[in-house]
Amino acid sequence: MHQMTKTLCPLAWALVDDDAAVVAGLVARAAEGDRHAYDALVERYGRLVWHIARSAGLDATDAADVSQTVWLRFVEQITRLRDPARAGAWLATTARRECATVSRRRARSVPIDLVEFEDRGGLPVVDPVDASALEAADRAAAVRLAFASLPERCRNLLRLLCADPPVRYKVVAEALDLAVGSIGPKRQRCLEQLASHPAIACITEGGRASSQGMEDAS
Amino acid sequence: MTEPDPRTSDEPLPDHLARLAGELHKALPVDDVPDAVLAGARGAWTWRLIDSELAELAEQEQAVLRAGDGAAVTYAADEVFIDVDRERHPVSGTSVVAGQVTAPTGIVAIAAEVASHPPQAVAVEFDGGGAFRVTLPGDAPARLVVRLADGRRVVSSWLV
Repeated sequence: MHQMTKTLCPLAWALVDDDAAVVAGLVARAAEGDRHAYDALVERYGRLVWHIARSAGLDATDAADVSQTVWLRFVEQITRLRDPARAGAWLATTARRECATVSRRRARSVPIDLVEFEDRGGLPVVDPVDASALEAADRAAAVRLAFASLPERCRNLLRLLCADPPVRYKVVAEALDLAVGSIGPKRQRCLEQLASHPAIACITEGGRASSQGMEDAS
Repeated sequence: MTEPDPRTSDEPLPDHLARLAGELHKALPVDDVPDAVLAGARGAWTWRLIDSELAELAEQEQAVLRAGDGAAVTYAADEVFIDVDRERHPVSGTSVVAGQVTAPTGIVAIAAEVASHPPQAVAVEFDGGGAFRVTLPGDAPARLVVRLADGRRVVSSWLV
């Protein structure tokens, strides 16, 4: 049997401090005009909005635009939020919608998806099981290569789950329009797909033989 | 469904996947939010509504999704309606905001506020029926500010 480990990314369990009462208090104070409370909300959720935009595939310029629009809408709506304690989820949902709007507007200039580009034969494809090529590549490059081959939904999910600071499942669910309960299983399936990439199989500790041994032991 | 607490109830990962997740975390490019983006987020505070009424779609979701997509939207506050469309000109970098304000008490002035750096406010000409058209610089979020004869100030939600 595999040793079971409760770890996704190193910081994934040190969740964003998302204490409902604290957040609700900050929103209430900001709604009454307390700028410091608003700044505290930006400090708490500014990275989240950014990571959602970047995870949606937007470049830095568009992600910055999305961030600005999201916070403008937040300021506009701050006295009207139905559930101030869920301000993070509101921001995540709004960010996702704004990303969709920007993506539609930029449809003609969306960055080429690496995998689709490879499918068209546009990139030289490195044989991932070529030992000499792998020796020349560091492990991170192999992981990135395998990551680029994942379906977009997997890349978005894993990127968001690897964000610093970590993001709560509830917020990830809002950002990616997923059911909270589905995130864990989807995460595992995406990681399994990542692990099955030949580049990963070759860099797995002890090489392919070891990987095979692990499978045999399970 | 209640959110699983990953510290206690989340499904544990097989060890090799947990290791791989850790490697992925290290391998993905560091993409921390730029300071300028956070500064912009903090700067949004200056646009909060004071002594104004917000005109928005009854279905806010539709407003967020549709505004800026080339479809006219209607913002409403009480009996004031702002029908507006924003069309971008990709070559010139400008956008045209056009529409009509309907207010039973009459319109004193209309302005377009642009959340650019630095912020801009542009006076908007309108006819007796409340129809208006204005060209705005850049494509930053913009909103319409309508001063009414009864002293009210109605502001549209942000057009992107």
